[in-house]
Amino acid sequence: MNTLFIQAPAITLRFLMLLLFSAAILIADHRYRALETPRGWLLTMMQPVQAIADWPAQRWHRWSAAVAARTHLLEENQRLRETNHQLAIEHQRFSTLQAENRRLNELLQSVSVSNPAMSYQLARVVQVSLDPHIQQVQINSGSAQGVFLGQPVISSAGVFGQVVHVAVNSAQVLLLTDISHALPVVNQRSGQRAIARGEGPSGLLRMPFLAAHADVQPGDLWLTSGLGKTFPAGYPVARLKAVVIPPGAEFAEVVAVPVAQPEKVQEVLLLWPAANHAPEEHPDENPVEAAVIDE
Amino acid sequence: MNDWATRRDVWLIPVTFLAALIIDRMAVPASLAVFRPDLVAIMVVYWSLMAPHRVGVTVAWVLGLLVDVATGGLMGLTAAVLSLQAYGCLLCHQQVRVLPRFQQMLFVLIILVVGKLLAAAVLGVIGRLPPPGFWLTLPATVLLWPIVEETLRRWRKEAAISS
Repeated sequence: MNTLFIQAPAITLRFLMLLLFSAAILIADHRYRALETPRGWLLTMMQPVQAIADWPAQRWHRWSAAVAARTHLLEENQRLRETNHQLAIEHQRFSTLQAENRRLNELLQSVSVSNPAMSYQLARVVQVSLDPHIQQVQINSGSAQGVFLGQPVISSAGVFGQVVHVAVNSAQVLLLTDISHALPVVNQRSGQRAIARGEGPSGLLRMPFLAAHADVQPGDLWLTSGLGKTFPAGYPVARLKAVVIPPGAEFAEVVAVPVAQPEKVQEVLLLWPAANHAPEEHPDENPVEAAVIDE
Repeated sequence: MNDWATRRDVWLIPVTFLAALIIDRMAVPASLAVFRPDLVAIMVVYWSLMAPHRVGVTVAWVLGLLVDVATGGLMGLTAAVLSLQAYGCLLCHQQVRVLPRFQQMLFVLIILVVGKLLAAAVLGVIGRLPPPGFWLTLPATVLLWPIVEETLRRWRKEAAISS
């Protein structure tokens, strides 16, 4: 009667083999990042599940927008209009400065360090619960929209993170505050270079190996330096919060707060270096047209 | 196994797993997220106790892999944890099924703690600290057991699933 007893030795063998297989997968994935392709397929397979899970949050979002009071909307409209004016004015100055900068660079016969030719595309942060061990979000663009592994992601305030897993219509973005994330930065005021490493759940960044005599002050803004090749130069990353120099130590303990506030962001911008890739045109699927900013 | 003849039962197991996958992926406010029960784990525990010929270590492993990929976690971690939990249930399913409900909850707690310990050990080796609230999912998951057990027993009677 095989229905009463299950075959314990066979099950043990199978279990041990699965455990071994899990270990192999863990090592291949974590250590060598060798499984991104099958992960992409499986993530694509799981997309319907994610979409259903995201549905109530999205519905709620739309509903609350629909019933928002008219005065509230008018206020918001007014605020956005003002912001838009400010940005337009700043943009006028920006193009003048850019032209001037180019002229000065030509005079000095040096190569421009900033990398203005980028194309952008908006993506929405999908409201699904993800692994709490890792600081990450899911976005609603994927390989069908031209998203690639290691792609830089920014928010309107500053650097947000980079793409780590890509499916067909979604991708997962590792935040710059995750413990496994680090990026090269440069101090806007003093030009001091450093590495900004994520601190994990605290949501802060730490800059190791900064000499105790380095020229840094609380309040300093750190920009991407462009040295790591992942992020283009010149985007704001974090504001320095505190510098502690333990007596007799060679290195300062530097803590910075990311300017993007990654946990509050609803929409992010994907960046493409314009030289080798532009987002593919999908006018039906993407309500937001890719805005290409020319030099 | 006469229940292979009935049709509806074939659907109950995958449907409950799918529902658990979907509900587990729904976003909740961060303050509540630490208390949310682990539905996939409790479904694996339930079905590997009640239908060990259908749901065993392999099904649990595949589900765990899907959870890992969907959550962007370390591939293979949840897979290993869930198959360990299923294995524990398979070994004891005959004894546990006849236990009173309180002792069943105790058994479920032990199984869940063993899974958490494995996860914590792997995270420790990799160098990640368990996040705040790592252990806080346990009470809600265990308290869910009587509800899950009661509800699914009724559905199973209708769908006529037995081991």
